[in-house]
Amino acid sequence: MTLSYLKAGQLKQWLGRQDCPAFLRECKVIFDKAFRKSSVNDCPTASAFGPVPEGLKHVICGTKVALRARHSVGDIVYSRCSTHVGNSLVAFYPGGNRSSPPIPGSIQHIAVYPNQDVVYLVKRQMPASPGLVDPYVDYPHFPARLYTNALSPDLDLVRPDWILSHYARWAIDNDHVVVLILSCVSRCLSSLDIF
Amino acid sequence: MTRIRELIRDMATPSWLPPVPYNFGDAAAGTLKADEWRTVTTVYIPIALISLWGGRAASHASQATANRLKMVLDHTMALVSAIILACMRTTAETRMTEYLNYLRTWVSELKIHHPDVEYRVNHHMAFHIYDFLRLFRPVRSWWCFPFERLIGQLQRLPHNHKHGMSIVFPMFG
Repeated sequence: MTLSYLKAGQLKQWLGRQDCPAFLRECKVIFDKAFRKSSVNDCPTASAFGPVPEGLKHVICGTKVALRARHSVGDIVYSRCSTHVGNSLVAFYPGGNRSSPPIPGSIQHIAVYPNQDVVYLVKRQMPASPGLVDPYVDYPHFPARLYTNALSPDLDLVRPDWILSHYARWAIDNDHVVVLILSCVSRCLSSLDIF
Repeated sequence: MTRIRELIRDMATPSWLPPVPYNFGDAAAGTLKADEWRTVTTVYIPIALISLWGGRAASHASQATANRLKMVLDHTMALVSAIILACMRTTAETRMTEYLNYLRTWVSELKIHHPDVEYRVNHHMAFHIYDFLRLFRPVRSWWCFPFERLIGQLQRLPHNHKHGMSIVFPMFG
């Protein structure tokens, strides 16, 4: 038991060395996923970067990019909608302009540039038609509003610091959804991981 | 209640939002914790009630029923708005005043809309939150959820029911 423990320690030390071969580093990613609680922000390996997909070339500048399923900012996890619908719903300030009202949208892709910059590609929730009576506007301190069920065909490029918060979404009928902007309680306040 | 359960089941929410039992309201669902009550009262119940009794709903038996339910809704939303204002990350003079106004409205009209409900100490204590907001500012800095969580962790620790005895060496206990 002691010998296998020592061998595992030596392997771990070898994987952490600068001169560790590239193919062994690729193995380390798999080991980390299997044996430790890996961060969702771990840098993608070199082989994860590839040419920008055809449908994203008009939004993403650069030649190489890595797409990932989720990304965390602080203790908040954002996901693409195909991974976790709830974690993909974000209210964001277009262009980072915080004087404009936040827009709800769904993250379609999370892209990482070779310099480790992360951007989200978001489709906006389409606003309800002007003639529709929105019962939620009667309550100004309850931040829920009606939107249509459809998402915009265009993608917005959103940086993580342009995001206000997640929102909750519920289909009130076949054509409309209720969007409620949420306020997250920081986990460092709501839980004390002292044990 | 059916609409609230429908929302709990179908609403897309982020993973950090505390989950609420799908059978909310049943005895089998057990007692909700304070944090779960906050989620129910600020997310699920208001969306459900407005969808049923708000301006969009037109399926009431009569206009009188619609008006009465709208008044009950407005009364409930006064409490919801007060909770939302009290739990905000930042506070200001206007928010504190609005919290107090919403709470006054809700407490003063409680007997009108719910004649069978008796006043409780909690109704009085809620007014002191206004004083605490003025004294200590945002509620997230001084609310008791972190301590509740810590108590929960301590209660889940294995123990030998012997006060002052170590659990590491039970043979000496």
